[in-house]
Amino acid sequence: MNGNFEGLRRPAQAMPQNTDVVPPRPQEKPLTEGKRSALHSILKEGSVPLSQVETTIPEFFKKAPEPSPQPKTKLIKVEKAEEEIVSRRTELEEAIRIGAIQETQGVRQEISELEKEELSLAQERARILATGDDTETENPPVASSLGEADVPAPQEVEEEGKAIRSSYETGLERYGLTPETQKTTKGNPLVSAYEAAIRRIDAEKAKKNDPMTEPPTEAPHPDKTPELPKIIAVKNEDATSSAEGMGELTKEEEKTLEGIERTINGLEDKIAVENELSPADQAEVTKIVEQTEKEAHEVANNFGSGKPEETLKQAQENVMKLERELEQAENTTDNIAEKIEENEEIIKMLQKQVNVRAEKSGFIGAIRATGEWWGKRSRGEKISFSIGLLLAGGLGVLAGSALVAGAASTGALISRFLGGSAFFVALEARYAKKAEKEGRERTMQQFDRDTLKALLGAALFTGALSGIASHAPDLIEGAKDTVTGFFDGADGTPPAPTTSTSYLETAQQGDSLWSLSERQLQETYGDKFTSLSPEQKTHLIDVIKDNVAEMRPNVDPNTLAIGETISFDKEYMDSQLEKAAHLPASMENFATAETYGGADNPTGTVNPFPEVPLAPEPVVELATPPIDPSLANPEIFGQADEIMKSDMNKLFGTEGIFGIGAQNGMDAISWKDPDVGFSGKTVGEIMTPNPSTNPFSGVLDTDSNMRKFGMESPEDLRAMQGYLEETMNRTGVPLASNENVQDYIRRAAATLISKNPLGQYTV
Amino acid sequence: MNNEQEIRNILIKELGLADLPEEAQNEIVTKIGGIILQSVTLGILEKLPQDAREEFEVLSKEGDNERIQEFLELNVPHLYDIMQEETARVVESFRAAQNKDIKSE
Repeated sequence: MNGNFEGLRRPAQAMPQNTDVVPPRPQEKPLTEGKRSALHSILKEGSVPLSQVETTIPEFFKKAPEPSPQPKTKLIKVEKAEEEIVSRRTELEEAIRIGAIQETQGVRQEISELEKEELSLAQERARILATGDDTETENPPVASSLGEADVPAPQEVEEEGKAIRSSYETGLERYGLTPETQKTTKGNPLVSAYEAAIRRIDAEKAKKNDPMTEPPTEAPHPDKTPELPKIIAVKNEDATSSAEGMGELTKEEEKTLEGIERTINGLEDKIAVENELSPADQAEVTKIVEQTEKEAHEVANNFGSGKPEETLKQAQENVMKLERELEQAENTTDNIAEKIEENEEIIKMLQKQVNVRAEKSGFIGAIRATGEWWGKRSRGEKISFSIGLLLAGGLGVLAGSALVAGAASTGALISRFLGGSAFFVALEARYAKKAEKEGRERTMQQFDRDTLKALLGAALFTGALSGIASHAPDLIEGAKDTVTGFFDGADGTPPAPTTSTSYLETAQQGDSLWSLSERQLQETYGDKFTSLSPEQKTHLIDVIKDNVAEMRPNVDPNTLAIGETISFDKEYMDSQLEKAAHLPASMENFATAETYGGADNPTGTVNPFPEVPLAPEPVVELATPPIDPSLANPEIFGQADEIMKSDMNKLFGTEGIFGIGAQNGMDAISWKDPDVGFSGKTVGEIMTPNPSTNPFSGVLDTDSNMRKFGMESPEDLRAMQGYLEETMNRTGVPLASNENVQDYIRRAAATLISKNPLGQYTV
Repeated sequence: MNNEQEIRNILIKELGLADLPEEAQNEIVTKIGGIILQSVTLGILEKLPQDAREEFEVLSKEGDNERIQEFLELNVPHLYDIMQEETARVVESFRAAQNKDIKSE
């Protein structure tokens, strides 16, 4: 058992294990004189350190011989005889004093005899007390153990030459006692028998009053030696441990002695209890101690000092439970975080759509100002109005159906929700009053409409629109040629040509640097750009793209991140547009192997600023392509097919919004349609479209809003032409007019792979 | 539960935001509100005739809200249709994108 648990035992049930917990005795019993004397000796000698006294004392007493018990018959007899003698003598003296009898010689003689007998008895009693010899002996010791000088000897009285028997002897004999033979020093009597008896009696009285106090000192007698203190001193039961030579105890020693007394008494009690316990009781005590220790152990376990198996198992289970709960909480947190992130992404996408549209229409400044105004509203206002707007935007019907039937009105819901908005109430009241003035009762539809007006009016007409002019310098100037927005189709008017002063383009799904450059040129220059020949436009787009790529080396020109904003240099675009307009208008007399790359110019470096018009050479150098051995390798062929697939996906595929409406480029009409799709066309057909088969010119002046695809779409056609030119530039594989466009792309891709088998492929 | 709270809860549920903490719900809702406001503003400005823009600029600088409202009602045909349609467009886009996300999970 752990010793630390000792203190946790039940003190009331367990025996004290050390002297620290010895309970105080309810009533101290004094030590015997012998023990006290022995302790006194130990203390005064200083042979035992005080700290060890408590352990030393029991040993001391264990070894100390106890005086053997002896019947005290002789002492009793002596004391009884003494009492009788004293009583008789006292009676005689009292009778004389009161005159009851004459103080005759005979009476005096009797008194004298009594005194002698009394003295003798006192001496005998003293001897018994001093020696402890209380047995009656036929032959008493010759001399007192106290020594000759110590005990006054009865005086021998010689009478008429005869040895007269002393009254002492006579008295002893009278009472059936055998007197000791006392050796008396001649001519040196110490005290008279009477005085000795009186002193003894006084001493006894004094001792009864205070056993620790020395008896009163007799009156000084120059010729006498005080004996009685010694007589008292030797009355100790343990006469062998004489206190002779000891000084008086100091207060400190007395205090220590008292403590020791308590300790000894506690030990004696313990021994007594242990000796008195029956085996059953001892078993019970053991059981209690063990139970206490067990409980203590459990308590200690709770404080982590030990880990019993059960407790450890329970703790492990608790930890596992907590871990599971923690994991669940983490999963929940992750799910929430993921959902928040998804919603944030949707909001970003919506915001970009608004920005792109605003940029196109030239109101980006006004829209930003509106956003700033909104951002400055209080949180409460924003939440209230947003919910109102969402209700007005279609969710009101859903919310209404989920509520009571009477509330299935957007206006009613908005009114309920924004009932506390002062301006909303004012506007709504205005519409109600207007209806009243006109003498009409508002229908539910009119009520909803008025509510919506009030709601949006509360936001727009209280500040969102006011002051936007100061934040939007482009409001008047920049939006002169604005597009008509999302509702163009309603009135059937064709889109108006646009101009832009921002020179920024934001990438949308599937955009590349080419498509952004083209868009920017179209938006900035309108007819000036669109009236260029395809070759001129392709050249111009490529030049502008290169310029941007040079300024933004970290941007991947093939794949732009959605929302990526590209800035175009207006001055540079102006100069390049001017130069492109002076380039040859057709492939036949424009492109050369040098300008579009080829075997001699594999890097495809374009010289966009030819000072002198290049000699016209056919863009398609070969009518039929050379046999490329790399295509015989199925692995390379497969990889080439993947490249083509990927590139067509970039050109004509759509990923939609968050995947909605996604379409693979190879499945797009512009690619796979047998009539207008590019996949069935030759390189020549694409690069030099035949006006008789290409409705290109018709598209430009069409008044129809019908979407065109592939060869019919100028946009798609330009994209495909640009792609083929770029492919030739990058791979160095010249175009072959009679080669199917798919075959050409595969061949070019295979060539690229063969040259750089470990590279990243994109044409 | 009062009406406002009830309406709000239904709306939040319809937007698929019920599992999110209230703080996040409010954040998303207010952002949608901001986009709606910008879309409506854009729709109105786009429909504002060229010859009315200078006057609108003057009015907006003056900050007379009531006159702005009257001016727009007079000069922008179908003003409130535009507002409603722009609002509906944003809400529909948001929900469509959300549903796509849910399906793709």
